[in-house]
Amino acid sequence: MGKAAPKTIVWMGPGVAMNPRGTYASMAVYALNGLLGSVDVEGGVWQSSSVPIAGFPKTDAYLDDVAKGAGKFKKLDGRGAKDMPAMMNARPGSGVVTNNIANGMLKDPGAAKVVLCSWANFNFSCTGAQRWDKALAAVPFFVHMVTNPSEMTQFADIVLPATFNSAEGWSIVTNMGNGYGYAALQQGAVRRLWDVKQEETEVMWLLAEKLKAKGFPNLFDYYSKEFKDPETGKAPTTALEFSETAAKMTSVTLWKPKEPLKGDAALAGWADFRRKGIFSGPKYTLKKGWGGKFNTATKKFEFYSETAKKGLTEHAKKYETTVDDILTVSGYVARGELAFVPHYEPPKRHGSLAEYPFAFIDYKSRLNREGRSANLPWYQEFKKVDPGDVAWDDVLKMNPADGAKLGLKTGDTVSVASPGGSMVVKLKLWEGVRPGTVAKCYGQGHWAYGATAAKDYGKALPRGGSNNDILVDDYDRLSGSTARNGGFTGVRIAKA
Amino acid sequence: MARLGMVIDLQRCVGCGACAFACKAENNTRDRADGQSFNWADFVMKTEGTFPNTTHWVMPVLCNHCTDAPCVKACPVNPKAMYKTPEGITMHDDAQCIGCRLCQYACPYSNGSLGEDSLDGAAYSVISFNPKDAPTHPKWTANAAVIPGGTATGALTAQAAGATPPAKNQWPAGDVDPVRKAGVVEKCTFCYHRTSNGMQPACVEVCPSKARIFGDQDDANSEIAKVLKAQKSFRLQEDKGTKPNVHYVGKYSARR
Repeated sequence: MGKAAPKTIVWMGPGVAMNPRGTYASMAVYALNGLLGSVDVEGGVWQSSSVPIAGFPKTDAYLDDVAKGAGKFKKLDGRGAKDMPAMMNARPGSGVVTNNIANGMLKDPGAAKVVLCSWANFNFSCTGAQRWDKALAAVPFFVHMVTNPSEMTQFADIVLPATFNSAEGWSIVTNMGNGYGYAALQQGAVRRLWDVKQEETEVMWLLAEKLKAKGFPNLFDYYSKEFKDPETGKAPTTALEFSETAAKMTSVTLWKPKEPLKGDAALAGWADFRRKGIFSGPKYTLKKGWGGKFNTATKKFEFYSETAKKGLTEHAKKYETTVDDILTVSGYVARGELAFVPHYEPPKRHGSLAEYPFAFIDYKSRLNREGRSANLPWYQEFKKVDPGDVAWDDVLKMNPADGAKLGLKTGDTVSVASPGGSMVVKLKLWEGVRPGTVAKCYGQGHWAYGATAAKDYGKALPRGGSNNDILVDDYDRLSGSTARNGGFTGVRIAKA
Repeated sequence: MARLGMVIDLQRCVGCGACAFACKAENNTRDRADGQSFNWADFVMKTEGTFPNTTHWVMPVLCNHCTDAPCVKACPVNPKAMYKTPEGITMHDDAQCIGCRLCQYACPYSNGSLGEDSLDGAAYSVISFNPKDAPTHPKWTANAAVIPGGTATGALTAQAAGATPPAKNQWPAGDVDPVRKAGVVEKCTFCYHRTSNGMQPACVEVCPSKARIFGDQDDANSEIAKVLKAQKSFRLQEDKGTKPNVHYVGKYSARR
């Protein structure tokens, strides 16, 4: 690596960061790139880039006392708790810890009386999935807004069919790739076949109308007075107009900028943006952090993280304790100065080697678009493009040497048990996995996700097993990231 | 006259499957059923060796558009339903096909009925057969809903979209029917509707690593001719003497 430096990348993927104590592994990756001189140079790792997007109008004038007070409640996801620093950009309590919401709901069953949920399917997609079944079963009123009924939908009192936003909705998607920050426009490109609504704009508008009719006009007043078409100045009068207006307002900085933008040729207006569908900023400027411009406490590249020190010290101060105490309750072994530098933390493992001898490796199918692909027949048909996998099936892969020891063969149905739960799947002996580990793609094991994903939707029969039934819910508490990687859950395999 | 062919560079291929997905979208091929895959583009896959000295390899497969095509020889009708175009494409005329499947049985790269071994890349068939007297896209004529009264049936979706299948790719050229009828075989046409109109086959266009090269093997200036001249290539089952026009270069796994 040193020989190839600085054109060497140590890639910080989720495998490094998304495990208990992952913060220090990701800091090690960061420091390695620093040692190689590969930060912000050609052939190295680059920081993010973006194009300017406008925010929404302020809501302050429309909040009544109830809303003002409720907005200050503690979040159910536990962010910022003593044992959950969840520091985004070193700001304690700023990280979202979605999977911990279930724990918050179980601890305080009365906390969530009404739940509105858009697209998510936590009962399948979150580790320790069973907690979500229990938590949602106790919610008095749950509305699920989804494109297709899923596991989470089974707990809903009302199901609202949502648009498929890439083709049916209006929104601005920002991202970066290949050295360019960009904004793309999702627009109603096709005629909607069914009565579907975009949940973040259209449903909210319709809700606001109903609330107004019941004597609570604030939300409707906010939408109808503060949202105006940047071209015509016209306020929206329907849910769909509101949706398009919101997209126009957030992207006006691109198609009607105050000053000319660098990057793509200037857009001639909204119609031009609709026609092109995308605006890319200028090519990434190399060494943009060099010379005291890094987004750190010292403005320099930090091997010793003054930024982490600042965040951790602030968090400790809030609880009138020491950084060491915070690290102890959050499950890290570092003490003293080690807290601020990359260092070795022993990997955490749920389940003893004696009782749960195999490390379970969960990984993402190359065909998964997040968790929402298993109901597509082509996904099933070409599942074999995940090395070792079998089309229309879901196999647990085990090294043949381990299979021989356990008297198991390819095609056997096995139970996989962890301290968190169990699943039943088909076994495949395969030389692609390390002895002592078993591996299975995330994505299959749906018991309610349409005609293709589930083996039998009506009977709740899954196709394969869901990894999240056995993965224990755990976190890298400094960042708030959910643990999925690094073999942190031990399993026991037996013939079912 | 051109002599069309394809080179697949296994060193460039990452086994992502994009070619096969693009093919299904482009050619409106249906879902697998009753031993027929309907995958005009598919893969052979193998894992060899013992951990940690393991190699995994993937080989994209499709109709080889053989110069001496056994499927054409076997076709019993006159004029033939399976025939060679002047550019060397092995084409199929649905109107002439009597569904005898002799082509499928004669083709060394096809199976009359695929078993479970086709699910993990051990077997494939470049020719598939649409059963007689049955819908060719049954998913989109089915009247059963996953949640009765709650979700759409396949038939309703097709009706609302105004096409079967609903995402039907209606070729503008009109020289080949984009959806097959019952009782005929089907296979890769080298995207005849595209390549005879100045475009690349869908699988070539979509490949993110540019592993597929399509063109005229007789044109010394074409990329395919240059690659075939410069690199060692092989074809599948050369011993059968079919003279395939799909060639492979390179090695999938970087491991020795």
